[in-house]
Amino acid sequence: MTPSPSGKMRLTGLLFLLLLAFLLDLSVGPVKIPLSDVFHILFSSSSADKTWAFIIDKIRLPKACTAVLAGCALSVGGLQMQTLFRNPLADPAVLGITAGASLGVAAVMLAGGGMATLFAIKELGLAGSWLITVGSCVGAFGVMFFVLLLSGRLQDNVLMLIIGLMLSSITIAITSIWQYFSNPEEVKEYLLWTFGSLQGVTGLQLLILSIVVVIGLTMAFFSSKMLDALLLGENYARSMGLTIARARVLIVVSTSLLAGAITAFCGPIGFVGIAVPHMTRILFNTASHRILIPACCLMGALLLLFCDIVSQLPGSQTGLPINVITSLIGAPMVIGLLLRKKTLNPF
Amino acid sequence: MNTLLHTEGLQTGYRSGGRKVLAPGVLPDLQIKAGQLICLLGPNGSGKSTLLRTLAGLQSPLEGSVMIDGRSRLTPAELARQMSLVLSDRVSGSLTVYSLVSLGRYPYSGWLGRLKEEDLKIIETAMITTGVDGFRDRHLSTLSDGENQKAMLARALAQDTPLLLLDEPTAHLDWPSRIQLMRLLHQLAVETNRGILLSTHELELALQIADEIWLLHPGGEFHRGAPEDLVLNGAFESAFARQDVHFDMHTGTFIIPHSKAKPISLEGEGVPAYWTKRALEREGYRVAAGTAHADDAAAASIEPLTTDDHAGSIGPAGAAPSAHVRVLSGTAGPSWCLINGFGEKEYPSITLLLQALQENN
Repeated sequence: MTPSPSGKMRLTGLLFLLLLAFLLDLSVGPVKIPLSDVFHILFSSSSADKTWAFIIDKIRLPKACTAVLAGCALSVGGLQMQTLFRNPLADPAVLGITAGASLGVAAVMLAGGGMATLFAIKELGLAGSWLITVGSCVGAFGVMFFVLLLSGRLQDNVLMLIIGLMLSSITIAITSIWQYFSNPEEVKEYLLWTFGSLQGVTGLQLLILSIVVVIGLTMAFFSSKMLDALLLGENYARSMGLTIARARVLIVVSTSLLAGAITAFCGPIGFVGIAVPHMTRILFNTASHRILIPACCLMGALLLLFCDIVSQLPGSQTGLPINVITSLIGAPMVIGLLLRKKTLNPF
Repeated sequence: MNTLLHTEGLQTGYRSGGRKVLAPGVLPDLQIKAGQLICLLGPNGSGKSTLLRTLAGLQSPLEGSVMIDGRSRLTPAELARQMSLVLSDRVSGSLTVYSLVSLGRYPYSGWLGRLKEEDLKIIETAMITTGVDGFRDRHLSTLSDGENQKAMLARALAQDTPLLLLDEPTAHLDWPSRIQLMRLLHQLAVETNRGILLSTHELELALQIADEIWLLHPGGEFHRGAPEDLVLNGAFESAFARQDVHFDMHTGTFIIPHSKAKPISLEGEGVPAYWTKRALEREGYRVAAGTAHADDAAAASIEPLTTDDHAGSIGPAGAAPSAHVRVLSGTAGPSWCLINGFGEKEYPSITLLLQALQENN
């Protein structure tokens, strides 16, 4: 399973497109900055418009980086889940990790109107968003812990999938109860969070997000040989010397880190995790994870950057929520690819 | 011969809700030796799959142990270098045949699955041996069942293990492919000195090709030995016997006995006469003994039976034939002459002959 020359060419092509989209993403927005000036600001610190430099440095560069990280993390997480469960409908949310993160955020935001949290959010500003992040991480890891605990007792990956869905369902129900008893203001704030946003992840937050995503992606890349074996089903994988339980822990932890971190910082971004692996398989025409993992990173990052560019096009001050755009743009793309390809047999 | 696998006090079965469900019967201690092709036979529900899965390490034994290379409890990585499997699990998807076969080198490759020169050579050999190198770039989802089965075998061969276990490898294959596959397995056992165990329903093929047969009875009895021994001591018949199925010791096949036999006499020679007789028997006639002479040279291998052998099961003999069929050999091929109460008439094919017989009744 060595990467074929055409695979390498496609990867290079995607990388080029990704760079282009990255620059374009820095250029568009409420204040339009010409591409040539974007170059200036990025590569020579002097002689540029101070406002533009500020916008790029403090707002758009972090946002574009977040888009790349989120695209990579969610796509690779989705790919791992689809292969582990041999199910084309699986995505990083199936294990209930996203739901767990949402519960954590709901706990912080709604908290029954708890004075302490409200005080923290209002008075500390930035620290308030940290609180949300911490809540989200605690929620994600709580569910992950449960999944791992249960997975040790199970032989069968399909059972794991169903248990993940059940955990997800329980977590969503608890969140709903919380919403039901909260006042409308807080519920609105929570709802806004669920739309997802690539903005506002800067400085230390961006650093932490990058570190977690890189760790998750490295683990995923290390598991690529195991994922290849799992394509044949658990029995064959075991007969080829794979320790299923060990592989499952590695894959679940990696996906949890990726999906949990992105949900914590950006909110629950849907669609990317389920669609990008399919788009990548169709485009690269391979099942080897040594190619699919890097290819998914590029495709996912490209898709999210593209969606972010589109969301800026109305020219308004805020732009549309990213979750809306990923579905509105991504779904027709997937339908189009499927109609051209006619068949899809990932497993 | 070198023993590759043996069992000690093995009891198979499965656990259900904390309760042990034992497979029926007690197994003797089993051995698979290098260069041996063993067929595991038994009717549905006799515990064939459970035994195979237990030997393969996919399922733990309830009691006793499976020793491979003289040791029990091998780690998955060690086991993968001793035994490769072809399972009945269907594997499909966007994997190419070449990628699938390369996965056979999994136990030998590094953590990223990089293949060395030697690995590539083994993959190539495995693909040529099984005849899948012609469609190496096709995706598994586009393969026919037979091609898929060959590709799975190629993967197992690339794993290059002394033991090879196959779970019903001939299911879903057409007849020529079945024979081809069995011949290939036989050849592999002899030429590469592998120990091969396969479970199958192909009694006739197993009888022809196996060095040893393991026969599981539905009640839990276990027989093993050379195929011929099992035929002669009646083990086959008792394992598969049903009210309406009859095991024919002469051909090693199961036949459907015809209960309402009407007598008919047949005269003719050679292969056409043999097949005419088969057609008449299938239609429920009892062909009068000795009337149809099969030409020894042409039909000796396909006509070892005479009608007397299972006369007991097909009703009282001795009623006078009410009709007579004569097979005529002409230059343009055989034709059939039917002589009965309605007179004498010639037919160009067995189809028309049978139609005429039906109408006359």
